[in-house]
Amino acid sequence: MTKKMYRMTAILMAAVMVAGTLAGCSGGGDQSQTTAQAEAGSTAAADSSGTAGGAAETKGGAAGTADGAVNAMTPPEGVALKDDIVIGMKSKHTTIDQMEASNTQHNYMWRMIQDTLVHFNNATGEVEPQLATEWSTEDGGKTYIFKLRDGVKFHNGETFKASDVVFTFNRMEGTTSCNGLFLKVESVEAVDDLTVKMVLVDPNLDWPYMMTLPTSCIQSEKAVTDDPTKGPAVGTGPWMVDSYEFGNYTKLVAFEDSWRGAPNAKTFTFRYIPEDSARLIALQNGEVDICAEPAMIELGTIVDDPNLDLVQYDGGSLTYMAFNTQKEPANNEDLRKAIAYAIDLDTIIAVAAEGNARKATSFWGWSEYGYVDLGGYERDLDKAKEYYAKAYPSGGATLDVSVSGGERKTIAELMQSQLKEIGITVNIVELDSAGLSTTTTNGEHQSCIYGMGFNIFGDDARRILQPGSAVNKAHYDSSKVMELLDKAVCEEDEAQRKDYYKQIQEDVYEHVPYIPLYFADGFIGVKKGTGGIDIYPTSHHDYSNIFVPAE
Amino acid sequence: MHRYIIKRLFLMIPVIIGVSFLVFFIMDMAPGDAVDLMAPEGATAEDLDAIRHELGLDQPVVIRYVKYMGGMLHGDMGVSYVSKTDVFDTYMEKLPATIKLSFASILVSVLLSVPLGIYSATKQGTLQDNISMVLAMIGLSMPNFWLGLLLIIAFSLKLHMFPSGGDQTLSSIVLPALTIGTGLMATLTRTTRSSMLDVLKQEYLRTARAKGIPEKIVVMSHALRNALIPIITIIGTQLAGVLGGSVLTETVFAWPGVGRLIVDSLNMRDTPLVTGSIIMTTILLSIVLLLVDLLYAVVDPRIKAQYITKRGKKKHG
Amino acid sequence: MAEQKEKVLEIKNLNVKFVLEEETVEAVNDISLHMEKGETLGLVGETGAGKTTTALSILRLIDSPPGVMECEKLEVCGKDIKNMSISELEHIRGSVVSMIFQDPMTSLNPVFTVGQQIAESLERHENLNKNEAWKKAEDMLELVGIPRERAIEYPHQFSGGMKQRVIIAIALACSPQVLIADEPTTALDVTIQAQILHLMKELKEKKNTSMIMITHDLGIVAETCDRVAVMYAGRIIEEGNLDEVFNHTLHPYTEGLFNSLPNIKNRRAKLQPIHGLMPDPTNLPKGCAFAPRCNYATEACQERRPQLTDFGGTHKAACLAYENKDFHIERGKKNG
Repeated sequence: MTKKMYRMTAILMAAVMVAGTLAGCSGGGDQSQTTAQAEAGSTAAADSSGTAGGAAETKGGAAGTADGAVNAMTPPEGVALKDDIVIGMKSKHTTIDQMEASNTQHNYMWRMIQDTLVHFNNATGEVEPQLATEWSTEDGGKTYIFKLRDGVKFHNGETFKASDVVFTFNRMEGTTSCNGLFLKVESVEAVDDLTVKMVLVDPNLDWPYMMTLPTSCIQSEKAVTDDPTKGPAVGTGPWMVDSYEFGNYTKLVAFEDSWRGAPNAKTFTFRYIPEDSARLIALQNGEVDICAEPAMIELGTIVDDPNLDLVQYDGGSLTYMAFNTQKEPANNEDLRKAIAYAIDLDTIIAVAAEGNARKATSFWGWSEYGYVDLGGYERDLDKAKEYYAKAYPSGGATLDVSVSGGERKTIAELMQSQLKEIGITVNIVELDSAGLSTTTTNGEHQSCIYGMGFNIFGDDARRILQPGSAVNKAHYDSSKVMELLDKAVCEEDEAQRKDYYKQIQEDVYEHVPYIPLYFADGFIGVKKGTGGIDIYPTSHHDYSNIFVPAE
Repeated sequence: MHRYIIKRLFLMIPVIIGVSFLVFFIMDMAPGDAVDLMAPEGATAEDLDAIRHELGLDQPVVIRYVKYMGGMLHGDMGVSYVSKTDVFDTYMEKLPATIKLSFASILVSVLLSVPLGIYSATKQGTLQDNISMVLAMIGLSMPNFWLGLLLIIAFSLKLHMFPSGGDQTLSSIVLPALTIGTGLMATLTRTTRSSMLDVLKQEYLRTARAKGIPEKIVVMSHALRNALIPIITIIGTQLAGVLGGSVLTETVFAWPGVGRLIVDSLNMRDTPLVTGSIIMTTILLSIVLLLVDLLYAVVDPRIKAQYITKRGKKKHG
Repeated sequence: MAEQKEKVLEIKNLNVKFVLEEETVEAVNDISLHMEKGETLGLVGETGAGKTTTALSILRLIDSPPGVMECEKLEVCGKDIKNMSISELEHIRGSVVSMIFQDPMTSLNPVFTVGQQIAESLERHENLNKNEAWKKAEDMLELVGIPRERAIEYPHQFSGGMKQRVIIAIALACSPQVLIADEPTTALDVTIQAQILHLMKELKEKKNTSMIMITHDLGIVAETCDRVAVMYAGRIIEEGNLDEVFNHTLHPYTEGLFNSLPNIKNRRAKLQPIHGLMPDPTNLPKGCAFAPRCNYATEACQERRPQLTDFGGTHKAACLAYENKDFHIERGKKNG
């Protein structure tokens, strides 16, 4: 009898769970609808938010509320602002030293607490003064002179000097994220207190752009010498680190004496809430004011909530497929071409990115210097079969695709069925992100689905095309491309330089070491009326001027 | 007794060596290494090698292990690859939150399960008994992840009674503790019930009843104390389990605990942090299990006698 | 003369059944018993005859479910136990009636000190505070011949005989009017048995307690009891004073019990155990329950159930054979 009872309950509970799942599914359906609405409304909203134009266009959020601009750059008149702002983060901070980590979650912080020598203006696409007021090169990018801003204060009260720049560049040696930069520099010296002279190993016209990246933030010599643990966080930005607990939170407080002016709030706390739903609920609850990286399927919740805004922007991160060009079977160019023409990118975008993505038509960042729209590979099964027959006259090709779960696994599954149509068998190899990263770096894979955020300068493509680079997941080795890159980086004639970059893109388009797939849209969930977020396509946004209206 | 404790503490040494060996080598065999993950996207092979050299990762695993264990002898658990902080300090930073959550969860589990188990034991075979057992099973059947989200939606989003996560206010602990506690309920309730059923058959309870002791006291004092050993064993094991970290619950509730530390550092292939944290967890668990054994002696005088007389017996024989 | 004595126990038509899922065990059937102050009643029978169940019924300690207890009357010292509330009962248990259990090894709670276990009933029934109860508990230990210092020790630190002394101390702590001793010495060595019996007798006399001595050992009955009731398959089949039952045995079953004792005078004499087994209590025969094993059984015995009948004095027996006026059991012949 007891047994029967248990069985009955088990059935009952199973029924409840199934019902729950069904409810979840139907909810999902609703959401995709509302997301579509949001996009429809976004065009109108984007028009009204003229302040956030340029490369990183901010799209509108909640449907039907186009009257109030989403993410305005300056706080509206007469509205009280919150003093304490909290952002819910998907990823955690592991350090407060910018030389030890350079990824989205850390770059948010570096942009707030530190300054670079020069600044990239997202709206104009121009490089602007920051800690340096003027910069120049007279020998085609080999030597740079930076004139520094006078009277800038570090958080510890020290005045910013040329010696801090020298110290910072010397400290980069052997660090996790800045060693690459260090290796590019031959010497850095302080000509006087407000002049720095940098000599590079190779001429590089992108150098000023590279000086806008968070990896080249300037640290305080005295602060680091006094306290090697907390000192690296002492910068000149309008925020300073108050407290930090590894893997839990980082709390910043306003630095009123910042040369950039005092921020719009008193404190800004990064809270690590890895679970997507919990992070969104925290936003709905008012426990956090900003929800970074909301889950794609939950965007509708944000749109539907009258107290929230959804900030949408064109992302600069490319999702791509890489073939290991050094290994069977993907070293066969005709096979790669067959695949390129056999995949249906529109379906992939509709399914894997829920339609919230921009189709990639060239293997190059759309916000990157030298970008050319090559039109991508249109699906053409006849062409695909033709190449396939050339590569495998008797058919029977199999290809391993390595992925690390999530929507990239969905992409691989879609490709699996699409490639089956021309007779190519795809095996999906699923690894965790660490495993995928290392096996692809070591070239143990046949192909993989991967992603990369492109920076604004043209030479950024070097890392993904240069033999031996960790992110050259195609292990592509083209002397022609390398030659073009080397020429371009020191070519002072803009038109010529852009042509070099166009030639590189055409080379990649022709030989297909990579198939560019799409640039996914970026999203941020915020309290209604929140603004001041300087959106970067690379998603390394600057929250320095963030403001949130008080309740 | 002291000898027994010291013996048990010494037994931890081979356990630690074994555990650290396993973790270290498994970490080495797993595809992926920390350097690759930490390096900025533009890193070249030379950059990676430089970082690898900096971290000593260019040496063979055996040498790294011996060095690591050498450091352990001096109480140095190494430095995290990722955060560059001392492993022991990092672990200790997370431990209080985990201890807090562990005890709160165990408290929830005990407060719900033990009375329920006793109740159903005294009502063995009745409808109430079956209902109690089903109640206890519900906790087990619901995945923590799902239950956690349900609780957040109900008590945080809809009712605004508790925060949705983090370890900030005192009330933050309620929902995660409920999530873990109800998950532990089934085992503890069933153990309490079966242990009580065994004891309720014992003749000394008839003696107690024949003395005129009211039934409530017979059950709650005379019977329960005798039923405690298996109950304590389960509580101890469960405590050891949650002290090792409850990754899913910690993730849903953004609880800054040890479980998430270990999993996050595992994902980053941060071998020193993983090894150190697991060694610390092992030590912690050994201590908890030792305390449980010592608690047996407090609860049952016969076991206490065993601990004490062991030594005497050896002397004589 | 017996009429004038104060009745401390009266049971009329007690029935106890255990209703299980598949069957019903008829453990005690229509038993009537009475006992006077200071008297010791021996309750004799094989294992499974229903002696312990009868004893537990007096305290209403039958587990229910599955036990179902019914009776016409159940009185102890004039108090109606049958209709008492549980909380009233709890005041009777241990103070007016107390019980010594069969197995000293399992009858003490292993996690409490013996002192605590004695003091517990004192605290409850005698309104003593903790200290007073503890003192009296130590006194009780001394009374049963255990040094008072050992009150802080746990049961596992005592031998079997010592444990039984502790149990006696618990039972006697509140000077009960009725003491039920359920095979108090069965689990003990013979030498210890004598000590314990001696101790019980002494204490009983000191406190003028009435006692029910449950045993299957006729020797113990001869030594301690004033009256005897012999039980078989849940019924009393013979009852009377010691002399009547021992020297003028009526029932064939009682005779069988005596015959199965070794004869010290004639060691060569063969033991004459009663053949067969007691009937299944879930399926008792229609007639006399003993009939299948009885050498004297007639056809009538299979058909009709004998009633307890007076045989003069206080002697009663339930046997149909005596309907034949000339009937004598062999032992009866011998003893005249």
